[in-house]
Amino acid sequence: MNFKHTCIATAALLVAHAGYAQTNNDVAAEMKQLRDELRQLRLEMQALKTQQNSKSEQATPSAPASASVPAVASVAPPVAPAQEAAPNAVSLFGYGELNMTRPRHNASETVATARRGVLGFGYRFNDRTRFAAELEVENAVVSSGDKGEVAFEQLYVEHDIHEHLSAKMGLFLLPIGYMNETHEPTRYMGVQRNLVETAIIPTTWREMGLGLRGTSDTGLRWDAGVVTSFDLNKWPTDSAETKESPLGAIHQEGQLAKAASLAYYGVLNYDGIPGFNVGGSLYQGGIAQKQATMASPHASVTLAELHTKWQVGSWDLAALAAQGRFHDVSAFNASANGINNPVPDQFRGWYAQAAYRLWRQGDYSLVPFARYERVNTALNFSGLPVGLAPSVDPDTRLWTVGANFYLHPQVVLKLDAQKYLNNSALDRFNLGLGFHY
Amino acid sequence: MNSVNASLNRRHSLQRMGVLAIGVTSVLAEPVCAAVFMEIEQAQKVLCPQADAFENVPLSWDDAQLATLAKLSDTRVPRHFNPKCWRAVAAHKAVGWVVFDRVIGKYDLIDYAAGFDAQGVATGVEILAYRESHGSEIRQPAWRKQFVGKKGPASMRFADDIRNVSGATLSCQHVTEGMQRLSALVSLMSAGK
Repeated sequence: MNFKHTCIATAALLVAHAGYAQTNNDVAAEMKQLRDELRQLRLEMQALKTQQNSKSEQATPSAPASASVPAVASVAPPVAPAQEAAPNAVSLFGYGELNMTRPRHNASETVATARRGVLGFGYRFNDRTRFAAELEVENAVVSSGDKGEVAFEQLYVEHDIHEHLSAKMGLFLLPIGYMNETHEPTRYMGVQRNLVETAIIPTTWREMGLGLRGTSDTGLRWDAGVVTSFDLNKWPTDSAETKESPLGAIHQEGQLAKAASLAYYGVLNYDGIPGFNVGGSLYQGGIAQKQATMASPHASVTLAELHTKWQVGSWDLAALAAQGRFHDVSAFNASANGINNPVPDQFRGWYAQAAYRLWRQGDYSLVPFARYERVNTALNFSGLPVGLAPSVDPDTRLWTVGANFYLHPQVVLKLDAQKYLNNSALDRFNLGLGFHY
Repeated sequence: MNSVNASLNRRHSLQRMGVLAIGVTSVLAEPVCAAVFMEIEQAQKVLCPQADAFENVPLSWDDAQLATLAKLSDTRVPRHFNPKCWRAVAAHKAVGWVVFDRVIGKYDLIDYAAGFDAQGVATGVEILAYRESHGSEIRQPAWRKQFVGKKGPASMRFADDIRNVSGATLSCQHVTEGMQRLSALVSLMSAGK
C-alpha cells in the first residue's frame, strides 16, 4: 500500500513537474510575445507622435518654452475648440418699443402705447440650415374690441448653399432700404420710424417666397428673389389709408396671400469700405392676382430705391430715396367710379439724416440727430376723365430733430420733435423707450 | 396699345431672366459647408505665417483675473468666455500669439481667431464660423483689416477706431469687444501676470 502510494505520488510529481516545465515554456513564450507586442506598440505610438507633431498642433517638444511668456493660469487642461460642447441650437431674441406722442397743438390727442413687442426665436438644425421667426404684438392688447395686432413678421428657413451664397424660404423681410430688415428701435434715430420707409417702402414689408443672398470678399452683397406680391383687389376706399402708404394698404403679409401674380426683386449693396455703404434695389410684381373681377388684369407695381450711409468721425450720415410706380391701373381707376382715392401712377420720397455722437462714457452715449424728409404718396392718376381726377397734394415736408440717449447699446431713450412744414396740425413731440436683445 | 404690350413683354422677359438666373445660381453653387469657414489650424498659419510651431497655452480664470481683464479691456466679460491660446514659435523663439474665442453676434455664436505679434500688436482676425442670417459681412477682409497694426484694447474702440458694417452692427460690435479682451489677454500674458 505504501509502495503503491509512493508510486502514485512519484508519478504525480513527475507529471506535475512535466506540467510545470510545460507552463514555464508557455509563459516564456507569452512573455516574448508580449515584449514583441509592446515594442510594436511603442513604434506605433512613436509614429503617431511624429505624425501629430507634423500636423495641426505642430508642437515642438524640443522647443523651450519662453520664460517671459507665462500662462495666465495653468490649471485647466488644454482643450481644443473642436472638443467643446456645440453652441446651443435654440436662440431667443427680440425687441420692444414703447412711446408717447403729444400733438403740439392738441394735447387731448396725446397717446401712449406699447407700440411693439417682438419675440424672436430660432433653431439651428445644423451648421448650414436654420429657422428663425419673429412674433410681434402691436399696441399691447389684441382682441375684437382693441386696435392691437399679432403677426408673424418673419417665419423662414435659411440654408447656406455655399460659403458666399444662402437661400431663404418662407415668410421673410425684403432687403429693401435700411429699415425694413433692421428695424429694432436702437438701430434708428427718432421715436417713430422715418416717413419714407413707412409710406413709400411699407416697413416691415414681408413676403412669402424664395430669396438668395450672395456675398463677396470685395464687399459686394447681392439679393434676389421670387416672392408673393401685393393685391390690388384689396385697394380700400378709405383715402386716409392709401395716402398713408399705398403699398401698405394692399400688402398681404403671408396671410392667405393670393399668389397668382408673383414679384421679383434684386438688391445690390457695397460695404467694401468700413463705415460706408451704398446700395439700391428694384422690386417688380404683378398685383392683379388673376381675379376675374379685376378690370386691370396686367396691373403691376415697380419700386426702385437707392441708399447710402457714411460714418465718419462721430458723424453718422444717411440718405435714401425711393420711387414707386403703378402700371396699367387706368382701367381699374375707370371702373372704380366714385372713389376719391384712385390708384396713383407714382409715389415717392427721400430723406437725409445727420446724427452726431456727442458724448460717450462706458455703455452710455448721447446722439442728437436731425432728419429732413419729403414724401408724396399720390402723384398723378390715369384712367380718369379730365376734371374728375383728384388734385395732387403737395409733398409732405417734415423735419425731425431730437436725440437718442443710450443706457446701453441695446437700450435707448428717445426724445424728438416733428415739424410738418405744410401742415402744422401734425406737429408733435415724441418720447420713446426701445430695447432689443 | 402696342407700347403697352411691348412694355408687358419687356417686364415678362425680365421676370423670366430673373427666375432663370436664380435657378442657375442655385444649381451651380458648390455644395460645401458654409457656416464653418476655417479650422483653427488654418487660421494659425494665416495669422502667424512665420511660426513653425504653435504651443497650446492652458488658461483658466478666477474672478480677480476676469475683473482685471474686464477693466483692462473696458468690456464686460461674457459668461461663456473661454478662449484658447497658442504661443507661436519660430526657431525656438516665441514670435507671437494666436487666440481662439467665441462671441455672440445678435443671438448666436461667432467663432473667431486673432493673431498678435510678440509685442502684442494685432496681426489679423479670421472668422472661423458664423451661424446667423444677418451680419456675416464681418467676414469681409476690409472690415477685419481695421484691427491690423492696433495694439491694446484702447486702440480698438467700436465706432471710434473700428467702423461698423451697415446691417451687421451687433456682430461688428461684439467681435470688436472680443478683440479688445483678447488684446488685453495677450498684454497680460506678455507681462507674465
